[in-house]
Amino acid sequence: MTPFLFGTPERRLFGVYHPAFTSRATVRAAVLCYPWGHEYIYAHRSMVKLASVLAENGYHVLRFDYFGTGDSAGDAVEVTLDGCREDILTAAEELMDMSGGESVSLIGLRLGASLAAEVAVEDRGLIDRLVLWDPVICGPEYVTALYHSAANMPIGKAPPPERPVELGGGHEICGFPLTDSQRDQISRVELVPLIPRLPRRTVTMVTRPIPSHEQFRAALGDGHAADKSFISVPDHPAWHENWPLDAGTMPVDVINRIKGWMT
Amino acid sequence: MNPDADSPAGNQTTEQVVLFGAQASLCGLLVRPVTTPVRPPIILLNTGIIHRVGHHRMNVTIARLYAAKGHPVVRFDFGGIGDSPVQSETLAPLDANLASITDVCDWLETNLGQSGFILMGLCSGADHSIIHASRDRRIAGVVLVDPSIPRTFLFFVKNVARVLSRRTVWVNLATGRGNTWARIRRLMGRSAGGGGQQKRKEPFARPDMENPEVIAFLEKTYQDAVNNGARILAIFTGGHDFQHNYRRQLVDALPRVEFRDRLDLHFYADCDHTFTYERHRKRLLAELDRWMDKLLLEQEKVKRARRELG
Repeated sequence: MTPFLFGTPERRLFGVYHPAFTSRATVRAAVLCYPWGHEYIYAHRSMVKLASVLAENGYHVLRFDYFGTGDSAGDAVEVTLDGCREDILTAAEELMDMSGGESVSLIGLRLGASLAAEVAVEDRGLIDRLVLWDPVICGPEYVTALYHSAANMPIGKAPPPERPVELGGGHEICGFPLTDSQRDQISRVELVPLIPRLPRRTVTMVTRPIPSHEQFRAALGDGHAADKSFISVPDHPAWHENWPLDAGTMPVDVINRIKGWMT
Repeated sequence: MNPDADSPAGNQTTEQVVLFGAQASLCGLLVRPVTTPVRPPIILLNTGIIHRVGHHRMNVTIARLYAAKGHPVVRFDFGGIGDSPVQSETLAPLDANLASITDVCDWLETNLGQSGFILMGLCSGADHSIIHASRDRRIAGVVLVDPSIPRTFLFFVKNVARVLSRRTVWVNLATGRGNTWARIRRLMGRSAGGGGQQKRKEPFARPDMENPEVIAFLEKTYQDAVNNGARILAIFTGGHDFQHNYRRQLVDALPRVEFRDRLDLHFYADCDHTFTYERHRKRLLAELDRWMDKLLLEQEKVKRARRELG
């Protein structure tokens, strides 16, 4: 794997390229879209593993940090969902340049899945396959879950601290700022209305079902052959850690299911 | 694609991907001032299995902050963590990781012409820092946050006092519930689950640290680090109160170490282990600033004395 910086000088992004182990007549490429905040930290190991598994099976893979996250430039309070979607497109173009492919697949986890879906419906010609892994279907439900997590951390039960208005306001969520603006942007995420425009080859894999997943499944209807495009995979949620009981646990089943579906 | 492409990490700093080690596969990021760095290089180490970004992206914040003050700062992944593949099939993980720190120091020395490194680590990163400092004279300072230390007599006294100060303990005692009664029932062989053989559940504490061999190892490690010239900033948090619970526990636990004036000790009772809250991270950074100023002042004095001696 090759770590590198890409993007523009104003919006420099950190990425890791996993070249395909075997060459094929048709180049296949996939961009991995990380989740947000503390979920990103916990999911990183699993995303590295998924990228390696896909590369071993003939995919060129790029995983990257959105602006304001991970090793990319910018501060956490500068993260916007519009910016993240722009970063996904930048990463997709970078990967096509590197791999020689003419399209890419997107694999997103949690909020990364929602962002990937939104990019896919806007750029239908660019996106080949789409994997929604434990997607955030309904923004308000996710925001509620974030606040619940922040109020019930292993270090103690307490309401998430408020942040100063001059720094964007909002609250601290499990160690990461969630400004008022970011919260509002996330609250506007709704995947169900996007279903008719999702790529034909889209699959949803769910390890930890929540109410909106069932609504999404129902909304998929016959058009998407719900049984094949919505798969429940009982496994460890990659984005969650109950330290020290499951620290570092890898969701091998779901990674293998994604590999199987992609290949 | 250019692995070494520079990235502006701020107005006065630049960030660069560097692949360290003999196999050029240890993934790291170097952030440094745009101008020639004048302050000692800082190396940030992994905490457990969390990749180099650190909990709450703390390592990125620290790296960019200190680069803006004139330090070159590296954050990188040990083999098998984050984006670095396993470095050695034969070396034990600790030895492989120490070799990786050496690789990073060598790279900085060769490419920036700087030495006098400062190692920073939380938890396992702190343990790696002090062990490396005991073996490498190029280390000018170590920042240890919640390093592994043995529990002491005073630790247990304070721990009992802490437990007894909890209202729930007294309520449980009065109502026949809780651990104390469970222990009494076990002692009397009347545990419902046949728990007479059941050990007390202590999933976090590390009694192995109280082994005389371990204490001797730690004493030698800290002493060698001090003798090598390293200044130590040790910060303990209440987040690991199963292992340490007062400021001077390090000194009491390793009584044969002569720290002289090389040790700065702090205990943040209300902080959790990974500094989850912003106000705790600010407190940590303020402490780092004070300690760094002290270290730089000392280095300046040494330089001046050397100049005067000709």
